[in-house]
Amino acid sequence: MKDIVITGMGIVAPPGTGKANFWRHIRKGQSFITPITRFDASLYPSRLAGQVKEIEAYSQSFSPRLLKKIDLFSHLALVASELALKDGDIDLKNFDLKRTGIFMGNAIGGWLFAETELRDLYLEGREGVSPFMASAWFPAAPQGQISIFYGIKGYSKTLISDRAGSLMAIAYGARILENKKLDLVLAGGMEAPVTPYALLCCNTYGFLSTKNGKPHAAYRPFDRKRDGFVIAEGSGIMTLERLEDARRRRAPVYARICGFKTNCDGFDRIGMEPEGTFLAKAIEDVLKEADFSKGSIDYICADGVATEIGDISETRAIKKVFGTRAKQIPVSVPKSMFGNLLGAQGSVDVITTVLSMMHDTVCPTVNYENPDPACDLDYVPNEARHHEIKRALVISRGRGGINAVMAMEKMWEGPKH
Amino acid sequence: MSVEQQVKEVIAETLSLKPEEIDVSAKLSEAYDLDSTEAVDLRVALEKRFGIKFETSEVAKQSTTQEIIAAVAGKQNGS
Repeated sequence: MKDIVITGMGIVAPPGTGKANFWRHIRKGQSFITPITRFDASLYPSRLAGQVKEIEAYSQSFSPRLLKKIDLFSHLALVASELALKDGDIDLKNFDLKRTGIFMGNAIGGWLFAETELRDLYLEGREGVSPFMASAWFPAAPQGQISIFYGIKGYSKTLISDRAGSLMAIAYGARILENKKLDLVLAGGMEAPVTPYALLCCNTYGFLSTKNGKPHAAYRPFDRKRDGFVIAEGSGIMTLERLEDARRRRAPVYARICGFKTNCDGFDRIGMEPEGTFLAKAIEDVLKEADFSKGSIDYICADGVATEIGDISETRAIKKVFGTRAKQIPVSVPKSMFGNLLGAQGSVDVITTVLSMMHDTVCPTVNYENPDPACDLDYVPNEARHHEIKRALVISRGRGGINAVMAMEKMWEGPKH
Repeated sequence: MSVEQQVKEVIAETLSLKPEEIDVSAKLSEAYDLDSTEAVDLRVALEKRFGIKFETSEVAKQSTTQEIIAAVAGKQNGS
């Protein structure tokens, strides 16, 4: 993949909304994981989450009439899209909207809206259900809402691939730009899993931490005392353009997307293949596509699911590819501070990695206190570290053995720099 | 409260407006950009408020508030 660049970033996440707020909080290594307050979650095995605050303060562009018709995950995506366009100095009047596309990923759809309506269906019958249910709950709803709000008409897609969805969406959007079918792409993901049914489903698949008594210490990737991740809500959306076009309009250019590979373990309906064989193959393949030498990788933003097989197989995959150099590469899980946004996590990891590149700083893996002999890489424990990052990998994985890896390179161009 | 005031209230709530902003003679789609899903939402809200059933054509995008008030009054009078 050549010369596809990130020119604007919008983020809505538990640590903060907007890239400056988000960065200011995550560089400190604080935790933003708290007990769930939206509903009574007291009987759930895992009842913690990273929850977005003050979304209303960033919603002035969206009418109450619109917001009552859509689910929270679309609302989050609209706010993140608005922030990304603003950050990229993009006035859509200057773009051909038929050559502008939207590529989004999420894992579960809009359950906050859907659950309320399903309750009404069973209590009141068919006529108790809001007609907006039809357009609010389904996974491609945010793509539709973004398209309607901005009048975007170009080729667009929503990708569902469990926790790897938004990383795939960014890559897909980048490939369509590379093929010159579009000139501008909004890409990323959104997720709003802090609802009774969504939380139940996440609990059922057995990957969530039950350390409810210590919310800040619950999500502990690569630590021997890990017991799973914590869910989070939010959205990360970015604008992608061809480098030549971005330069022509003197846009801010943050990073280049240099490669993407995905494959499947074909091993288990939920868990990963323990040796990390196919994750290693995806990493090898993406290095080849990006034409990155193994020695040039300065940072890996890990999936860090915080299960025994997940963490060990990810560690093994990195060691298989990088050999003795693996221990010299910082490998961190910044989402350990605020939770895993499921299908939106890949896009948040990409934005975190770009911010890390901009600030020459690796964000830490928090709660790393008890080393596991099977996980022996440099996980950047508990405190951010000054470190120049020119080239990085972002790893997203999903249930059923989905592996996805993106290669990125730092760029510094445009008026904002 | 009169039927007119009640109908205006329901329409205003559907459109996130104030009742006094409703022009009773204007077509809802033209004046307020009411779409087909909002028309269904409005019909269900009116049915709940007045306890009567409406045909799809009686509360539609093309309806005016005046026409809806007349439909409600007509049904309440059993005509």
